[in-house]
Amino acid sequence: MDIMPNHKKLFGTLGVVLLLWFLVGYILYPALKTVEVSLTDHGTISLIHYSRFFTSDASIAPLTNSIVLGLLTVIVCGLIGTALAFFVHYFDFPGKNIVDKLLLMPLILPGIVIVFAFVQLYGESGLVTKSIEWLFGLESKPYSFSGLKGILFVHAYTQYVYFYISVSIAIRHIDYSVIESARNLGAAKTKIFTSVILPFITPALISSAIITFISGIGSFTAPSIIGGGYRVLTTQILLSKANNYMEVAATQVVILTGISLFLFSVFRLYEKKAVFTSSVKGVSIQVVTIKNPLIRFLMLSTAGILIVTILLPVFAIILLSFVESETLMMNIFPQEFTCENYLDIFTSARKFAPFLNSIVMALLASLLGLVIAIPSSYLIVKTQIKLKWLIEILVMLPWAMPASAIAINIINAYNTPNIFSFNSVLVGTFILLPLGYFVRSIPLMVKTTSISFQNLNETYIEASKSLGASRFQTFTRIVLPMISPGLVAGFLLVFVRSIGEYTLSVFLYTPSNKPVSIAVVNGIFEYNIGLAMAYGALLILVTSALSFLISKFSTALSR
Amino acid sequence: MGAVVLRDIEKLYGDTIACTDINLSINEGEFFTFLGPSGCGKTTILRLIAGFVQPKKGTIHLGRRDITNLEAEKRQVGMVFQNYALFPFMTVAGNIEYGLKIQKKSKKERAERVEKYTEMVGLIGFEHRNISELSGGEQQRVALARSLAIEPKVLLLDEPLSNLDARLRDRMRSELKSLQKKLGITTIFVTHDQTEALTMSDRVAVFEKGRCIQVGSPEEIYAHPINSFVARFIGDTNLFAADIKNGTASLSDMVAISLETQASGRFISIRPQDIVFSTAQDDRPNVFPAKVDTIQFDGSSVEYSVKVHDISFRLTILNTSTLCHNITVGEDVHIAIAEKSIKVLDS
Ligand SMILES: Nc1ncnc2c1ncn2[C@@H]1O[C@H](COP(=O)(O)OP(=O)(O)OP(=O)(O)O)[C@@H](O)[C@H]1O
Ligand SMILES: [Mg+2]
Repeated sequence: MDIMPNHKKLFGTLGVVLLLWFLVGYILYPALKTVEVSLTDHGTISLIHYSRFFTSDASIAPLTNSIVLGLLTVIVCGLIGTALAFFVHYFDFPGKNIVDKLLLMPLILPGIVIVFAFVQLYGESGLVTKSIEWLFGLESKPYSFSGLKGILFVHAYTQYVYFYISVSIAIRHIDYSVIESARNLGAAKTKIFTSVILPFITPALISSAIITFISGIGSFTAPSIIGGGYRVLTTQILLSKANNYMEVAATQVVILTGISLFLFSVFRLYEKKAVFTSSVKGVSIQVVTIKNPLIRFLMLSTAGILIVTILLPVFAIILLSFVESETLMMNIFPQEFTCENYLDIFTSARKFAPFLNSIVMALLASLLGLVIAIPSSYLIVKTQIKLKWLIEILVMLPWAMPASAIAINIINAYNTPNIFSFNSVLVGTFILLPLGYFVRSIPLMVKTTSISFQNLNETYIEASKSLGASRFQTFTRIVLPMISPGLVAGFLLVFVRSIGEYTLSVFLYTPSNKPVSIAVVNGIFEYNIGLAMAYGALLILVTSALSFLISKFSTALSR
Repeated sequence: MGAVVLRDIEKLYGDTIACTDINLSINEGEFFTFLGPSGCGKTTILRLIAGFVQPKKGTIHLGRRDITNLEAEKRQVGMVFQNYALFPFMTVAGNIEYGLKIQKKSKKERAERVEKYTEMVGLIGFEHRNISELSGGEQQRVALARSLAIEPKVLLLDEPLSNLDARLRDRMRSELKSLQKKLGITTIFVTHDQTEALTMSDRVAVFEKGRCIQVGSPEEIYAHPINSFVARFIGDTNLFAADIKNGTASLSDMVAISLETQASGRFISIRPQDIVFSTAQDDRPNVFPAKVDTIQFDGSSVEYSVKVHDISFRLTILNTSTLCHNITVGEDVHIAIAEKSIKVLDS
């Protein structure tokens, strides 16, 4: 782009200014506003909330709990995720590909649905719990599924994915010729592991540990539903907000975000420095085929157990969605099945409303995401403008913000009129939730759309021009088809992440604007378990179908 | 009307001069090659002709028309890119048809042309393949067919053969050349490979550091390089800085070569195949006693490096010569340099 007419430059500049105005207004400004609120006491600047926080045992305890939870989550998920990655990518066994795909499932299932599935399986009157009691004739429950243990159990299921994905990638990048030459030099197996394999996967382990820790201390759904007496920062934030201690909530948010942001910066620095890929021309890892029939049998059983464990919550939800809630109260195991719950949702406007509402809000969030992510990733990938770094930081910032923090930031920023909201109060309005969903997902969306633009080589555009196509024809016939798989994938991804979102929803919903995740929780607390599970099953149906589409578009993208 | 005339073209990238002072006139139907080392501005000039970049000054004419400020898409200039730039989400036929759809050709005509050009590049049967299912050579043919299908006035080729392996490169070289002859299309071919330039071109322009140094037929350029750069770049040569006066070029205190002319200059260039082995009895001028330093056998020929006092010469002898077999390293021999094969160069 050599000579650009002046009016086009003007439009370009205007576009960049608008984009920055939006990003600052809805990502940076709310965060700063929260900092301001935390530093205010009865209208004057004060550090009192911080000094109170750090001097009271009652507020230090949740902080310690959050950190302990984060650390334990890293340990548990690190062990599980790494073991699974090696199991799937280092050995050869039948059904390997299915296991690989299934292991990614927790990524797309709405957290709130998983938590309730776990409660229904392993809780006090859960199916698995009762089965064990019945099988062994126990008088009392064999274990307690609440507090730290329960949260960890759920985290183990939902958060091993980061470790699993990044270690899997690292394993595939291990240069097998290095292993071969180590063998050649007579290295023992353990030596090979510590001196060859470990260095290859260490960067993956460290970065997943950081990301898992951030998501562990930011976790809200599991602690709020099954945490019981184990109070963590995120749940305390909701409590402060519910009691209208906004300044306390803001202080807690600043502390939580501070920790995340610090670790996230470490992560980014580390990511830039660490060499994640090996020599390009290396021989890629060869899967080990086990010949010993006993070990083979053990491995197959492990694979089978894995599949069952992963699918069990999904089956539980589907099963319970066909149960009449009253009969469930009376029997240990469900006996009678009915479609009543689904009929209820699809015939009663009141019960359908949350589901429809979530679809609409998720659509809005995804659309908004597209509108912001397309120019952002274009500017980041394809241009050299001066403010590129700022755009990049702004769109990546929400990675480091727990959902509860995003919610509080939005409330603080938009409970009074300001220029970013065209002088209106947004708190209490419908738009608040889609906005929150959007902020939460914008980093992921920009990442996805960026890949599209990276694929779009300038020479395609020149080739099209040299074949006589105008700017417009080039855009519609070449550029659009090339970037659309990434855009569609990004769009669907935000939709999937938003439709069953719980944390932001709890903080930001209004009675007239109830999302389906809240309806699930209400159903459970009203002992209408069948209805709650039917909502859950519908959510799973929608998210899995869309994820299937996403994977289709992603393969188109990598072609 | 496929003649291309560049007049006083200059292009800068920031402060870097990509090319300057370019005056070229490429005839209709000619196979014209831009030859030069990496970074000398070949691609830049091609992109100027294609209209992807604008010159700082100068004009470009295509036929009688001044196209300096015309948009790329209106120039009717076909281009084959170094990385081919085939549209990955279209089939082979889809790629070839693309420009025709843009031209709003009827369905029937498109089908005919696609067939014609698929056949021309030897890709019948590949029409419905995806681009990712093609080898490098096949992709190259698709790229060629795609630019030919719009029947452009000029065809621009930016190092189209550089991604192919040696054998395929040889074959594509002759195929490309005969295709060009058949179609009679004005073609500008960019390469840094002198063999490609010499074997395919009607005329060659040699570039160095953004400037065009010499234009001529391959024979002219080979036989009469204008300076030491061209002499070295085109073909192999023995190049020496020399003190030249009175028909003698002194390479050092010990070695002086007599010249056919009284011309003055600062360098002399002697092609390795213009030096032969001789005997002490030879009484022509420029016969020197020498010692064989190295011998390198490469199949069709043998290359010797010999020392005359403190000066090294390289000579190439065709393998058919009986001489080849009985010369060994360290042997004392005589070499003879024909006076008329010595070129005197100014710079
Ligand atoms: N877009 C650009 N921005 C800045 N400088 C450029 C750009 N394109 C080319 N140049 C510079 O202009 C000079 C000529 O580049 P050009 O690509 O024309 O060389 P070339 O002869 O095609 O080389 P090669 O054989 O490596 O392809 C080089 O110094 C190059 O660095
Ligand atoms: Mg080039």
